[in-house]
Amino acid sequence: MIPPALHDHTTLVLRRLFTAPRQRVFRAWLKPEALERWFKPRGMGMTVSKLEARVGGSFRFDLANGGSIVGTYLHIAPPEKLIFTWSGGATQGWDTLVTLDFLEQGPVTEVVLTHERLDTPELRTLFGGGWTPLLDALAETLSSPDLDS
Amino acid sequence: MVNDSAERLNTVFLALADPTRRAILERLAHGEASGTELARPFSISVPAISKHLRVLENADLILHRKDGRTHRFRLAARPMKEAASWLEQYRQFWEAQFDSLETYLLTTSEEEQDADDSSSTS
Repeated sequence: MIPPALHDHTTLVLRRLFTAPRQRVFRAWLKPEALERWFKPRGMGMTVSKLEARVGGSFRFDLANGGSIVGTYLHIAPPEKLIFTWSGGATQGWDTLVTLDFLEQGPVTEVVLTHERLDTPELRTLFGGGWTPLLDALAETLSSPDLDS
Repeated sequence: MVNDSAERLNTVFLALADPTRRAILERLAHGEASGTELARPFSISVPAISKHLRVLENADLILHRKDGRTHRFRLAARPMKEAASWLEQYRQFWEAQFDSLETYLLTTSEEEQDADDSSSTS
């Protein structure tokens, strides 16, 4: 199956509805005690060793496997919007960008997560910008059924 | 598992890093071809093209079959699909976090969450 966001390999957008007031959903992302209870990268427990909930402040999540996720808060507008940089093993140390929009919809809250800059420098060096059209062209070809035999 | 697929992606991306190899894949996207046919547009020798084809084959990007005395090459679909689903790893990561947040919000009362909030110093 070809993922829908095929034409853009560097940005991921996800939406989810939560049955909770917007303020609660927002706070769950910025309170260390709350984060430690729900945030489980790859199912692992983690420790919030640093969380400065202010613009320009940084955070550090230490994972049970010895890895860590670090970032800096760029924008904090409770309970509407949260923007932070995001760097960890999966991003090869490269700063990616996460934007969270909290939308009030009556009793439920919709969270829109946008994870950008997922093209690491390594990938950029490899492809010099020419890889996206190639992948698109190939994926288009590959959607023809006779190739998968 | 995550590492395996990351490693596989690396092999695929490295194979794709060379412009000649990308051109070969683009040619094969139009259909099967022999090594000689593939070498023709690049003004490079058949041994040189064979080297590129080996890299592509090691990355499982292409398959070959013997047709009499010639080898004929074609695209293998699966690895390209994996490369195209580069974002899929991140999608799975965040979907799992959303699941976990949902459980947290449903199973934690507002009072407990307030306690989480007030014990925070930041």
